Amino acid sequence: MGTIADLLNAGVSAARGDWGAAATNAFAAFPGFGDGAKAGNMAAKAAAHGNEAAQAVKGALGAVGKGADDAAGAAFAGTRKAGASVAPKGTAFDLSIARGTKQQMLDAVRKLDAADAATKLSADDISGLTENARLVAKKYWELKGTARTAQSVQNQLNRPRWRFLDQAPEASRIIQEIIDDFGG
Amino acid sequence: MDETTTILIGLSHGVDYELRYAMARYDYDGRVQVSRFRSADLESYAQQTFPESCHTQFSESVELAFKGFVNARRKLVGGELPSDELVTAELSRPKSILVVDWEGSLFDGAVTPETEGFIDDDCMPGWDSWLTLADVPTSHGKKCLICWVPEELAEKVNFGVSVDAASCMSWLKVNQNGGMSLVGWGRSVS
Repeated sequence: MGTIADLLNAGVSAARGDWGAAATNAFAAFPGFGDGAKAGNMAAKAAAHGNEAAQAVKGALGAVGKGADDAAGAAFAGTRKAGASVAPKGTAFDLSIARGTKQQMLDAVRKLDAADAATKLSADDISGLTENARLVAKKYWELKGTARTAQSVQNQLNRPRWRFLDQAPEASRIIQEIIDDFGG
Repeated sequence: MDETTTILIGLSHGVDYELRYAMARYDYDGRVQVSRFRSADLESYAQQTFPESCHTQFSESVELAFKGFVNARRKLVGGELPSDELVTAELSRPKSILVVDWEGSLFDGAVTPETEGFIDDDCMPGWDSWLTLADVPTSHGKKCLICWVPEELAEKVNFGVSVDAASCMSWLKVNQNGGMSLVGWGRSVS
């Protein structure tokens, strides 16, 4: 696993339109292509796969904002960063509502961390991945402003499971909200 | 069942017994060195117990291997053990005994930096801290791993408990009747 470049950085770069950096960072986020790629040992490989990685990240982040938010949720969008930690109840931004069962989540993340990038997610996988995103975000917002380290957040966002965000729009929006805050 | 009232009857005796061996192997000199909790002496026994780290499903073989682990530690310690008073005081200290529901881990590395590696990316504490396996009614897995957290690491691990998105860890506290109860999954204590 990369220790410097990661998917978080890829997301930040992508959000800023820097797809070259996004490709490198996304590639470095996955097992076997971490620090080596950064150090140049894997540079050739990274270049060969860079476009593919960029497209994967761009595709994943492209789904952001496509969730079915109601008016209250839409009004809330973006205000959490400014300190409004509690979203309107029942909206897509409400992190108190489970998006899947614990079993769905654990099954999904075990499968997706080891899955081929071409894997098509089932409904259970999407529920599980979205539930993982919800719990990650819930902790992120609850602990914002505490002594929590950046590395802790980066480690979570480095997981290969997030390669599949393009198939889980709500999870994508939830993670994007963190990236916007953390990397912005 | 309310997890805050979950009482683990009979657990304290087993914890107490293994705690003295874990304490005997911990040579604190004022510097926290988490590597001491992943000693080479016990590494092979730990790997036999959890060959797939947090992905290891509980079975009789896990329980057997765990017995092998604690037996190996007892042999390494020999005869020099901390006094009953020291062990009892340590057991009663808040934030000294941690429960890890390893099958419920999200293995996302969030707790590792917060605990300086005492808890790894799979949410597994270093093996030299392991005390026993126990049934915990509100856990995801069939058994949980009970561990010792020395005072020097207590605050870091306490914060780690609250950071874990899976909420797969809880402190244990000793009750007035000598039993132990769960503080609450994912709940840090002040």
